[in-house]
Amino acid sequence: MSAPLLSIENLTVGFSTERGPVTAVRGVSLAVDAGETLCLVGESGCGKSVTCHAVLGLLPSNGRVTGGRILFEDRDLAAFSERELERLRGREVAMIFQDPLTALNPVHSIGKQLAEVLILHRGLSWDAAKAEVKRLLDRVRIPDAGRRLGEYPHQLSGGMNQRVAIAMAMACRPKLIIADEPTTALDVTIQAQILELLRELQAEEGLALMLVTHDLGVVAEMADRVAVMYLGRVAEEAAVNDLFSAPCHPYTRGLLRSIPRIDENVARLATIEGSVPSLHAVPAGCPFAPRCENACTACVEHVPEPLVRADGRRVACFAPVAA
Amino acid sequence: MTARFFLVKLVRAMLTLLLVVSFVFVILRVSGDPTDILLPDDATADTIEYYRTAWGLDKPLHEQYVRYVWSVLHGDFGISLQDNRDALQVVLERVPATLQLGLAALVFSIMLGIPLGIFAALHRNSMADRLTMSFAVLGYAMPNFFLGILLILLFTMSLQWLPSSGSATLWHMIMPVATLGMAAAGTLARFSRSAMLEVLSQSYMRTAKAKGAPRLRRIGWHAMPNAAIPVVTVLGFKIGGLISGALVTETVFAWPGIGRLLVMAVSNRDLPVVQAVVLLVGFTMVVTNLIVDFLYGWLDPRVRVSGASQGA
Ligand SMILES: Nc1ncnc2c1ncn2[C@@H]1O[C@H](COP(=O)(O)OP(=O)(O)OP(=O)(O)O)[C@@H](O)[C@H]1O
Ligand SMILES: [Mg+2]
Repeated sequence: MSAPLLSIENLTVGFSTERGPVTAVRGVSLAVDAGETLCLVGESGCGKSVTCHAVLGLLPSNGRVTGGRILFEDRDLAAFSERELERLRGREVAMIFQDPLTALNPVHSIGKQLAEVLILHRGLSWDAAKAEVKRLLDRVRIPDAGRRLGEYPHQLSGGMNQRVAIAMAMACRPKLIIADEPTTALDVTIQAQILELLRELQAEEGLALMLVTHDLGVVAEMADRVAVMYLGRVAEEAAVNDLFSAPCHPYTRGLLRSIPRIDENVARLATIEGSVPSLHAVPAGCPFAPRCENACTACVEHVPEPLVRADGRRVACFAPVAA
Repeated sequence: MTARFFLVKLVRAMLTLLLVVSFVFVILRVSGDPTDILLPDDATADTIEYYRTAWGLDKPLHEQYVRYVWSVLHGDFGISLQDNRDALQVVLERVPATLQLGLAALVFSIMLGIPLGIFAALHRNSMADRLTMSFAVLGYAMPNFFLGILLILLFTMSLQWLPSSGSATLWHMIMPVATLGMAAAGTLARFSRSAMLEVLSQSYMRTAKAKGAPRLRRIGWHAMPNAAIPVVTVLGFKIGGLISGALVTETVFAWPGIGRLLVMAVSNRDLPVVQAVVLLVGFTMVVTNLIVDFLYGWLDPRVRVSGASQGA
């Protein structure tokens, strides 16, 4: 088996805050193979975005990778200098953010912002870049690209802006795109179009996708593999079908139960009892133990290490859901 | 569509000017019979009557108003009571000196304030940031005349390095320019810093980083044009402050500009000159605000476009 394209090993990320240091990501291991889609799911604050930002060295100034390795084609990005990261970002690994309007610079036309990537990484002149920009806009199916490239983000709809962001990410044919909730800020119909576009481009270019989402519907549609995160750790990682058909971790089961279903009575919709603990008061044992139906004494006292099972799943749990 | 934005601003500026002119008219009429104020106390009844007719004061008010606007439009502000010359002429002679001082102070405050603010923002919460901002607050809070006197005490009296009055050489400019520009420099530094910090925390700055743009490019191409938008607005306000500050500064340093002229004209009750100065200052303020508006529209595509659709 060849090495994965991206392999995050035991990543730890800490932040210094006014209330003292916190560890937002505690020993996360993930792998993305070339051409595959890994979805990252989990409740708000579990460390999905922080993990993504760590990969590209985009952590805010109070955050730092405090442990682990981020291997991209066997190079450790966590040890990269800022110079090396600048050459990697946008060229080999690109990123798409949640809110497309605020993610684009309001004072530059979208054409210029797109051209910037081409000029930075492919050394094109403005004129050459302009032709390429038009091609890219056509590619993400923005109608009337020639006129649009002179427009500003506020003149475009959310969906159109996200298409621009996708075009920007695609511009240098990266091997991996990290998309942090790329459709959360959009209308449902637009969401579907954007996901469709991402999938098509992914198939055409053979690129790998690391997709963060809250939406298990999106997971079902897009993912090859899924990693479920809870409070800075990976609770369970599995192929998408396995995960949906038979969740192993009680937290995964809880998440799946909380999906509203058309064929069931809404009143019976389950939610997970309790709330996510604060990063300033992380439980000593399994972080999910206080909310877990299956919790036993071991769960409260020790942190379960993620174990790889025979079927290729990784589960970090002392008392997994019986199959 | 951009043309419409500029047109709207231009019309607005014209209306403001008309308002200023009318305001001066009202003040002059309300403050009493101009002949009482303008003519010497020992003027004979004949003289008073002569001027009443000459100035059209025997006409109804609205006619006087039209006449007044008409003469203002033709640059006719009356005769200086001090040296019997055309009031506008007297004022215009002083304009270059004030313009020289004001523009130099403006350039000084921009060159000092904006880089300091950006520097402080980029080194947020460091010692350098705190020092810079203390300096900015000091510059902003210190009254004009106080700073001026302080500088004179230091550089003229103690060190004897710089001349304290007049405008003969470049050396003469240093202290007045610093005095006048310091407050604006302080404000600009503070605003540039906060505008820059605001911009640096925006999501598009992270996008720029994620694209692989180097730091200098992110600051220069992505951050600064955005931060410039609020800074230019403040700059607009500060120009008004510079004009009023020039009054005090010119007096402290005996700078032969319109500020000093105004002070003398007021104490000599030379109303035509006062009126000409006030109108000229009003005119300058309106024009500079117009320029700032244009600059703002040029910097911010959102303003440019929404300003246009407003009129549509
Ligand atoms: N700059 C920061 N300083 C301090 N703590 C931070 C910072 N950024 C993130 N965190 C903390 O790290 C944790 C993980 O945040 P992250 O943004 O990765 O969550 P997320 O899983 O992406 O959630 P969401 O679904 O809301 O986007 C949160 O508890 C958050 O408070
Ligand atoms: Mg997030």
